[in-house]
Amino acid sequence: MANSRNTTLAVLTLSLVALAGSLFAGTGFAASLVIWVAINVLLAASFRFVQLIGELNFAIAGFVGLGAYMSGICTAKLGLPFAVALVSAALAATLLSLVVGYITLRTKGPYFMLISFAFTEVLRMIYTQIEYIGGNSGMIGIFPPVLLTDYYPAFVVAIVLLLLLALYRLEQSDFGKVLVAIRNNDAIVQTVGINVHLTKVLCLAISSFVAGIGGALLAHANNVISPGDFSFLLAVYTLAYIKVGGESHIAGPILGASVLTLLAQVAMGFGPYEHIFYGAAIVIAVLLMPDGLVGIIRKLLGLAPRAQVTARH
Amino acid sequence: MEIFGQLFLNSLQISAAYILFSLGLTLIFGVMKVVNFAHGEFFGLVLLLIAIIVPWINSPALPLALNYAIAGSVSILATMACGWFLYHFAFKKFQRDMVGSFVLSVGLSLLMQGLFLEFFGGVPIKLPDLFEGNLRILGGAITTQRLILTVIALLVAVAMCWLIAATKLGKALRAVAEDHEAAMLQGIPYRKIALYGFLIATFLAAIAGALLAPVTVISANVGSDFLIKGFIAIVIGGLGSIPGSIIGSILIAVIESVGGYYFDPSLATLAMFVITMLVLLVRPKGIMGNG
Amino acid sequence: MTTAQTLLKVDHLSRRFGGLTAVSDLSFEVQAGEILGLIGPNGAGKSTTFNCVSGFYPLSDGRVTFLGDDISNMTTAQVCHKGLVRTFQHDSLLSDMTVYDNILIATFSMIRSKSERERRVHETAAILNLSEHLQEIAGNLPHGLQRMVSIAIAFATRPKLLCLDEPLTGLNQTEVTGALAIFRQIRDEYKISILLVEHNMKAVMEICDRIVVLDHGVFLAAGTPAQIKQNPAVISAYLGKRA
Repeated sequence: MANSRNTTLAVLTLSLVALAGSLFAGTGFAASLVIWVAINVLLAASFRFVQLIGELNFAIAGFVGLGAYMSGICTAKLGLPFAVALVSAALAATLLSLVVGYITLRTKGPYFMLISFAFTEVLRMIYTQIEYIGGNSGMIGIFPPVLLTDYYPAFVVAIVLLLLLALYRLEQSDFGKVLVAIRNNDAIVQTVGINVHLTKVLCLAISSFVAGIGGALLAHANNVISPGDFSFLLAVYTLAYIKVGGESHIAGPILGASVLTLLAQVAMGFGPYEHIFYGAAIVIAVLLMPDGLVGIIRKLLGLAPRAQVTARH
Repeated sequence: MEIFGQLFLNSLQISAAYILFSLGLTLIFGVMKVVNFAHGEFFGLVLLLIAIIVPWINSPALPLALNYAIAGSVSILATMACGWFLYHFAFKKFQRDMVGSFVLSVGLSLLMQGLFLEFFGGVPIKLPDLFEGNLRILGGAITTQRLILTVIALLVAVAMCWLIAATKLGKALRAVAEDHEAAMLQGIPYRKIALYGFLIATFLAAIAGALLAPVTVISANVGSDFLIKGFIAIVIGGLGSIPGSIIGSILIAVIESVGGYYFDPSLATLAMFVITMLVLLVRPKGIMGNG
Repeated sequence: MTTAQTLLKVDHLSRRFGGLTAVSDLSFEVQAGEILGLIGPNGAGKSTTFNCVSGFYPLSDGRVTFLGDDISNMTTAQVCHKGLVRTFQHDSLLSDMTVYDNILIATFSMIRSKSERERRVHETAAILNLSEHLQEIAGNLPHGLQRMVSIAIAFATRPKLLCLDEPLTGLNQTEVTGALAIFRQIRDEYKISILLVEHNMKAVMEICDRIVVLDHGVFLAAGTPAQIKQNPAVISAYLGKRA
């Protein structure tokens, strides 16, 4: 379809523009902003991936935190190469999510949300109790390798683009269809011979893999991490990005995270109104833009609106 | 034996507040199938309003009890108006949409806390004690005012349970909670019942706030701590189940008082989370839950 | 002539919910190559039996064997791999996905190759008269076609035993006749046996080779349609119930 080829071309162009732009971001405030937007986009995409099975993954902060701490230990404490830090962050988050997901995905809806929230808080409290990683004060000295220092924004954008592509391909694949089918009616999916539970666990694992890398990138961008960075609030902000951007397409988290992060910078100029800002963003998005910015764009382009999918619980 | 008595009294106090709170939460879920993450803000709003009004109208001519009574009534009414407002402009559209209503309520909660912080400031306030004196019961110590407030709270909870079990309104609430389509077929006005349910729940949170005003340190985010625990209580007990919310609240209260006594409070919270995870794993729909 | 092979054997099946006994000491068999009807007044325990047989409920007592294997404790997905698939009376399809995807999902655990799957989807759709609707969203279809989709999903796995839960509900006479013809085709051409729970008595009498009657969770009678029609116990159960 010509439409889809145009879209692919457009996406490719935008990605290259983003990448090129980030090469010139330098090392000052612009660089931080680029990194910040990119990581928020990544986390939003990760959260959204679990929405394919109809769940709100409030455990995301736990996996981001684990990735951050794991990479921090590798870099700041053990002096290992950056690549090792990244890989171990991803692996740790994935492995933990396999174990936790196997247990928690037996529940659904509000029960799953609560158990995920509980898991995040438990992890956070554990971090505060471990001296090796700095306890409540956190860990410092997490720097990207010298070679990357000037190009860290570009590096982050490149990794984020790659992961976004991977998530998109997965969503469009047969595996993605099974996930959406599970959200629609998991009894039917079981009936035709698919192990729904393991599929859900795999979905969470993929999301956590991405979240873990996001955590590592975050740690090396901020150079300092503490348990408070990985609380429930992180998941709520991620949710805000998705609600504003729109859930029905992967462009949603990209738009939402970009727009909100940039707007937040503007709003911050007026005072410390972070909670009001994000809270209002979610409320307005939910009440007035059910399909987010993506929905608005669809309307402007004259495309049919996506079918409203609600999880059955 | 003394320790038992003390722990018993502590649990009693804590559970009274949690029971009022979680009764409301589970009622909203039962009747509207809505998970209201902003419920804590009603509690918080009442506390904050009382914290502003009491010092404001305080004067030597005004007995403290009357002061509290006025402040409490005004705050409760204002909060219920707020609840009505939120129902009509927000939650009404998201009935039976668990995900949508949850997300909306998360946003509302964040927004309201931000507003509270703006108008109230970050400095916590402790209001003057309403009654003086201490008592010893069963070997444990408790201040007179805590005892009176706890008893009132428990009476309110009992009244609420009676309302739900025995009155026409209560029967309608239960019918809607069990099967809202069947209830509509029987001529029960679903929309009105949903509104009443929401208002009753708001009232419960509000009165919990009013009763706790003399004994709590009040700050802008006082609601969220309560909310998390209330949420845990009703999920453990089973969403939508009244007896479940009571069982869950008592369980949380006991863990908090025992944990807080023998270990430090954050460890108690940790224990609460771990126990929550365990309960949900064995009974994914809560202890009394059945969907 | 070889004796008919027993596909499904339900042996003294009981299922209790708390204090309520939904099914008690039920035994019956489904032979290869037959369409067996499971009927009974409302509340007789038909759905419960269905759910127990297909792995949705655990059994309180008794055993279910399929082609000699004990499937009593198997999960629904495992039971599917053995060759037993069921449809649902309510919430019976993936309403937000296209008809094509609905049927495609059913091929994933059975077929590896992409082209094979595509072929299976088209072939299945053709049998169920859905070929023109493949790209439509299943939830937007009229009720009759939706029923066909839910049968298509189960049929696409080419099971040995197809368990249909009230597939004719809400269908008009023409649609019912069409559906019955499809059932016959499934039995004769594809050698798939059918276990049918239905309320439409006329259709049941017409299509079933044998019928098992339940009442109050207990076995009441079994036999050919002609035998069941004249069975006094069955008649009184239905007349007394106004099913």
